Amino acid sequence: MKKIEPRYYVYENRDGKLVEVVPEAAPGPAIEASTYPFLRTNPFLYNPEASPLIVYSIEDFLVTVKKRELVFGDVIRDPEIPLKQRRKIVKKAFRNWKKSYVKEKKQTFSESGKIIDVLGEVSVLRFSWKYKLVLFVLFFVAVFLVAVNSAVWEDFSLTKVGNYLHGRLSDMYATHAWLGSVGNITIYVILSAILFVTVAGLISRDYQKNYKLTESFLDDSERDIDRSFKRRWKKARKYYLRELKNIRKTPPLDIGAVQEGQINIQLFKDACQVLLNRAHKYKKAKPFINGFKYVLLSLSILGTATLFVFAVYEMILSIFK
Amino acid sequence: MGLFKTFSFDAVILIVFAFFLFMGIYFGIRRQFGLVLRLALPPVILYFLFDEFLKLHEKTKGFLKIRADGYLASALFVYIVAYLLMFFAIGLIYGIFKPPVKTRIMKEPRLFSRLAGGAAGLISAYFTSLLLVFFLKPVLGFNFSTPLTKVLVATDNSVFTLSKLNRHQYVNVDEYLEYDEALDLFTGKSALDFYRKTEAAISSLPELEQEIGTILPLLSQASRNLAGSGTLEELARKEGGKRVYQSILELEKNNENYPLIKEKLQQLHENRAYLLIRELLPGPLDFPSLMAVVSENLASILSEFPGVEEKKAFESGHAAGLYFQENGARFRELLPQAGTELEEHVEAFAGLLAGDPSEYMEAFLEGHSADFPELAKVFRKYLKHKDELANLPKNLSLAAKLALVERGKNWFEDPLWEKHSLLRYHFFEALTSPDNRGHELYSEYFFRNYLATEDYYGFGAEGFRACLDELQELVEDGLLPETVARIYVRNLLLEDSFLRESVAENLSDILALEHAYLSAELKAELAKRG
Repeated sequence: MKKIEPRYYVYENRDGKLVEVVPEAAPGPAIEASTYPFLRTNPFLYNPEASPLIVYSIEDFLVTVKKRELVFGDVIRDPEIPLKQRRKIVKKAFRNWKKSYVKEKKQTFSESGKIIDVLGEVSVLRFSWKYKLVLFVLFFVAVFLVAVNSAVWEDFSLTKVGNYLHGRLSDMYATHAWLGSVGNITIYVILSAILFVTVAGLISRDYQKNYKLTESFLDDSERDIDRSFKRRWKKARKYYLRELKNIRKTPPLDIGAVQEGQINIQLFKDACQVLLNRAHKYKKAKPFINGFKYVLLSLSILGTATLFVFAVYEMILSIFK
Repeated sequence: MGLFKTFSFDAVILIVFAFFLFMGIYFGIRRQFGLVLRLALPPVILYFLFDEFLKLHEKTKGFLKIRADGYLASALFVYIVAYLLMFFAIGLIYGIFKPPVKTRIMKEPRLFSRLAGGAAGLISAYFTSLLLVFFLKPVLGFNFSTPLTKVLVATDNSVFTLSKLNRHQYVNVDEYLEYDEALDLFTGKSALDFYRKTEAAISSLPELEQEIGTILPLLSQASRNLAGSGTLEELARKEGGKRVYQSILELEKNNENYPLIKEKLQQLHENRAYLLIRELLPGPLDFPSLMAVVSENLASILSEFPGVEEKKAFESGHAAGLYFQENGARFRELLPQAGTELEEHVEAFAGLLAGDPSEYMEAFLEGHSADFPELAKVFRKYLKHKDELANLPKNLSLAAKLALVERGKNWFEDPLWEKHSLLRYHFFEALTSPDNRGHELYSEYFFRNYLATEDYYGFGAEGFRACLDELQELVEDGLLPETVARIYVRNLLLEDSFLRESVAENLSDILALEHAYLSAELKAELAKRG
């Protein structure tokens, strides 16, 4: 019996016709061995951007028929296989792809859900209004005690109380010149603390905002991915079951009709990974931010308290002069 | 620690720049650019639309107005509110043009974005520093001469009007006060003012004694017994922890002439320090003997002043006297024709500054710049701007000329304050409020540059009328409101202004003038003060 060479057709999108592909060189094996592992995967998980192999149709993928791995297109287009059997093969192939897709999806969603749950427990550094209030009060007290030559003091010292306090503070700085340096450093530290709180607050808020954004994005994606798969799967299955009788005249279904869309499982995984990385970085930075926060606050309190104690001391001394 | 001895705004600038640079690098260009827009766009919009905001503010009068006479406060309030509104509005609008959620979630800023963000962060830091320098100056009282602050302040521009206001409100005024103090100490004017004021107060004491003598018959017998011979010394003497006049005031509370008695004794209360000086003077009053007596008894004399302001003024006057005694001779070495007496010294040095002092200044800088850094700074500035100074109004004081010469165009050719409402309102405030730090400088500038532009040495009544007419014209042209003009004239004549000396000789003629700005009430007040 004469061996019939298989003929390959490609559905040409531009003309809407089937075009026969003629091998340029001597015909070799239809599929290279290295591509087998990839073609065993699920066409519904195919992502043209991430895939190592360009695939044109769902028919390029492999299916198992009676323990033999065959190209899906070859099987359903083989005139020697009875229609009833081909129908069974199509149904089984689609069932398997659905099963594997759902499994993959569930696994990804469950892992991502766990990641999101755990990351939700990463506490965000909050700078309470009390902390900010303390800083502002310290700033004003320090400025009051340090900037004795300011315009505000110039006016205040014209009052009796102001003049008395101005006199005591001037005496204090004359007796203990180093207090001037302490005062100036304290103001620099408090200003740094205020800016630090602002920047660290922005970073924390940014992290939290990003977390919430990712969380809602993943929620939405989960729904989209689900819906999109069901639509693609039904459409493709219906296409083959309907056209199976007339399959030789039916073009292979373009991979674009089954491949994953913009929102896909891989993106889902990537988003989780990015979130994880961010949380990791944030968690690593948190002790430093916290430490710095307390160092700055302590220095601010220490500096202001030193000035305050010396000012009170000077006032007490003035009573006995 | 020596590095931190004086407060430097440079450190604040460095801190702000460091934080914004970090923020820019951390968040990347998109967010940092948003901040730049929010900080930089409002001033640009306000540059064109601030007048509209002010009009809106006028329409909502009573709701936003802070003080009826607070020109600057209300203008600044409108500016800040408008700035903040625009800051948030721009933030909201910018927020609309966000990249898609996927990009925001998945992408971290790349290297270029971070570098560009850092650069944008520096721009934000610049604007923030400009805002901070303006708002922290009154509370921190730093000077503008440190390197970074100097550069920051030098970048002022009328588009970012707050930076110009900073110059008008603080930089120019600080410089003016610094130069004025240095020059007054140099010429001996401060010492002479101190001496004249003390002399006037002491010589008014016999008159006060006479006036008090007229109220003695009105007192009760108990008070008369306390008053004794009724001399000022007798009345100011301490008895049982109180001054005699204070006990009299307590005893006479029910006297029907109490207000008159109180008024006279209050004058004694205010002049107690001068009474003590008179008591301590060994002979007739002259500058050296005054200085000797005050220096020996400074603490006790100061304790006799009832108010803090008077006490401080006396203290600084005395310090000026000491400065003259210590340094006058050194200043005269380069001006041998100057007499050694205080009045002669002042006359000679005032004449020197009114002419061309460059030669003197150059010689002074060669020999004395290290010993007199403040004076050296003034002289250096004079020599640097010698040619521009020659073109400024002749009668403007040297201190005012030096303070305004660097941005001379903004004051004498194309005055900025006339064009920008925020600056104009500050100017009105400075003209009308003697408490404003810029009052002296801008009052003098306005008078010399707008009202009395001709060269003159004193004011006759007609000259003064011409100035008032000129002022009237400016009001009619809409340059300033009539209320500002009225308060300005009042301050010119009643406050201790640069003009009082010039008009003093012709005060009676000026009082006889009929002009809308010379109200009967003002004339009465002037006549009362003599």
